[in-house]
Amino acid sequence: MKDIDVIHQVLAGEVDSFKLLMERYYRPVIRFTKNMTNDSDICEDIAQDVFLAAYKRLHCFDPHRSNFSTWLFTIARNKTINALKKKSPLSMSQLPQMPDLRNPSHSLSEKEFFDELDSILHTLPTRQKTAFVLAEFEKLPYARIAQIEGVRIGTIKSRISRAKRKLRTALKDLDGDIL
Amino acid sequence: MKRQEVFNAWIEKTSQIDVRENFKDEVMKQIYQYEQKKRETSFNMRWFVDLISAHPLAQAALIAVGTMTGFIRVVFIILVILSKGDING
Repeated sequence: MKDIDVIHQVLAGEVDSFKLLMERYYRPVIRFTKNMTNDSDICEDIAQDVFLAAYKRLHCFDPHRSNFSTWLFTIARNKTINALKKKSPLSMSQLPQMPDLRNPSHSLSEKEFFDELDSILHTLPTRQKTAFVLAEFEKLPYARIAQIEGVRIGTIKSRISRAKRKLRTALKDLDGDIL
Repeated sequence: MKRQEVFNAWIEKTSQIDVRENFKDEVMKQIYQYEQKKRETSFNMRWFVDLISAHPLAQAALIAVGTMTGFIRVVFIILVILSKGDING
């Protein structure tokens, strides 16, 4: 059954049908909020808010303007950005320990590189991070990301390219193999 | 492991998430509560409209209350304007 048919059922009063939509999208939405906030505790709370807001505003959804997942990700994006604004910035002691990549004697494990990439991802400006997360983790095409962000495709391409450039710095000292 | 492989492995690892089992049930519970609240509100409004339309006395009382409220509001505004006139002049 297509999303739009399920939406019509929900709008006709079959509340339980909304579970079908949730079944399809709860993982991508939670993954998005998790990768944006880097906080396992609040990401599911934000995702709950996203689905509740989507249910309440379902009558406003216009299938001629976007598909349901784009609309849902737009709500998720807005809710996450609001949550990030409320969240206090990390203090220095809360920041994860970064390995010294410039020390050649330091043999780096895969986990250390992952931690380094995680740290850089979460220091990216919100706009770059949103575009990167939607493109790389959710595999959304640039046109849909542009719709979610309300900007041109060129802007999205440039944001993703800048985000990747920063992430590449974590790997620049990686010469050949790691442990 | 090469750079691109590390990057791809990181994307793969970060894409994996654990979701609490009752996530969907919790959301549905909130939706049912919202629907219940909406029904109750609409029921209360319907009860009020039914009461007014069924009893002429209730209609007269509502009109009287509305008229009184309007009258008091007009008097209050006139008093405010007059008191400002006193201050200025």
